[in-house]
Amino acid sequence: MRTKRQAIMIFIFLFQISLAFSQSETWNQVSTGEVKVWLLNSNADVTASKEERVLTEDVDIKSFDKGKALNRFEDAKKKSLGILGIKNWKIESYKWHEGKEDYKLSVTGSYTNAQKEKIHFLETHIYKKRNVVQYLHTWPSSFSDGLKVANEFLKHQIP
Amino acid sequence: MDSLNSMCEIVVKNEMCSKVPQDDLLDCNSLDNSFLTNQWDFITGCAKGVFNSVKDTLNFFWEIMKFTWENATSSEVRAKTADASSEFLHSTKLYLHTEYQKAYAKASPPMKQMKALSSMGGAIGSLVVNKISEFVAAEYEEFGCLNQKAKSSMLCGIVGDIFIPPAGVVALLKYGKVAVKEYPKLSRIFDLSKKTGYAKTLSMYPKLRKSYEELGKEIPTAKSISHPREINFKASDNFRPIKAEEMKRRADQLDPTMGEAITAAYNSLNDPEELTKYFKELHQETVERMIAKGRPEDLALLKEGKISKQAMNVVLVKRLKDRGDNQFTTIVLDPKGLTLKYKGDSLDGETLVSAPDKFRAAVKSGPFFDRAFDDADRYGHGAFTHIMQRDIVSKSVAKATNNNPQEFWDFLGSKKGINWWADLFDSGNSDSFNRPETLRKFIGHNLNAD
Repeated sequence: MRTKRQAIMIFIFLFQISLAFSQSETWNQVSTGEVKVWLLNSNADVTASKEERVLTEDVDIKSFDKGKALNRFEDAKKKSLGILGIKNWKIESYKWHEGKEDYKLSVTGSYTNAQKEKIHFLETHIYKKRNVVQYLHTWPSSFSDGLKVANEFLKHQIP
Repeated sequence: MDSLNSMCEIVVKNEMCSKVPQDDLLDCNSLDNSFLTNQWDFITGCAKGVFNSVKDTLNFFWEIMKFTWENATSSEVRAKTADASSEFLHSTKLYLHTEYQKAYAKASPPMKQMKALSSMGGAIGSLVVNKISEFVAAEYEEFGCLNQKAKSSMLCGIVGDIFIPPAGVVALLKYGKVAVKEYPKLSRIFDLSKKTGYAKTLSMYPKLRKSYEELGKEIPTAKSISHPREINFKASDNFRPIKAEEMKRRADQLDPTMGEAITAAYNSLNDPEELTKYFKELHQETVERMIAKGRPEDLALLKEGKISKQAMNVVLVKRLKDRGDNQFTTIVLDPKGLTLKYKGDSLDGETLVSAPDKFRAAVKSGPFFDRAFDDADRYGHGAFTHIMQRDIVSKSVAKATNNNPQEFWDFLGSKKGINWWADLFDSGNSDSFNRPETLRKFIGHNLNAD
């Protein structure tokens, strides 16, 4: 009896794993240089990218106003992205998370790309003392699971 | 639009625009602002071989993006926030690479990479071309007189030069003229402000500049000699009554000064470095003369990368006259047949086999127009080639004769000396400007004299 119950438990466990596996999206890494880029296998308009850089100076994140800091650079960022044909880039929400050894900034928003499609984004910046890791996820409005897929990707990337 | 047209009319009628060929002049009836469809394609087309990889290109785009945000942020703000928040800006690089990969995934073969870069580089191309145009307009006042096609043509020549390396262009955008110190090729733009019409003209006409730059490429030259006995006499045996063996013997009996003068003249017509310098100077003087005259047909030739044969000949004659070598004569073709005439007397034959006195007199007296070969450049000889040869050798012959070049021409016009004429100026050696036909071919194909 006990063995039968164990077998059922194992079966349920394996079923759940296979279900979870089938539900997770698979990515195709298309760039392996200093900037790594992945495209979602099922939809090449859903992207993930990552860059990690070593900084020459320590990050002194405590010394500035985190809310104002973003506003200061919003205009410059819009102009810089503008020459890639990206318009209406705007922040919809942001969140700072202070960890023991690092700080994480998550920014969500949207923009219109050169093909006039509305694209959503999630920027994730992880600041450590001497390095920074940045992630960018983008997905079109038509892909409703964009944020979920992005977070799932990050779960595997960020320990 | 009417007021814009009126302003345009004022601009194009200004004296400043009078030197611009009609074809290149701004057309006030069709003020077209659409410069080019995709200016990134324009840049890569003009700066061929510069962007060899996607990595190079994306790096260049990235530098331009950084330049844009640096321009958009005051130095004060940058200084205050030179910390983690500025890293927030840096993430734009991720957008650059993401947009490229998406464009690449959607591009159809062939040349997917190029198509992907082209699809996202339009705005960057516009920014770069517009900035370069601003620099050019500041240095070259006639730029505003040009129509879009002529502007593109001029900018293409400049872009082709200054994009090596691309970092130079980024430095130009960031620091302006001072960037020349680190990237000397950028001086191409700032040279435009120099008052010499030549530099401006070369910048304006890429075809002309190309032919100027390539002048030294196809100069045929025979081996230099240290004594006349080393001349390949056999090559000209058909052009003088004395044959090679006898010429060799006579070479050893030459008066030392004449030996040196013959050697100097021969080497001047076969020294690639000296000849390149010579043709470049002649090209410049001819172009300057054409600009000074400002004749529409001349300006049309310059646009095609050509120089006027007539203007070149005027320059040659002026050079010789200024040097005091001004006893010009003309040899004409008798309309009845292949008889040469010198000052009205008939000369026998087309070659120097009989070396008549009158021909020797022509050689001795000074430069001569060989009009016998003027008729559509009969036999590819050219009427002005002997005058050009005389100009080419003038300095070295003057040096060899202790500033008494007439001594050399007197010798060549003598019964003994005329045999050397063939080896020096009417040779059978096609690989040397000792042969007028070879020089004439070069004048037509390389100097582009029309």
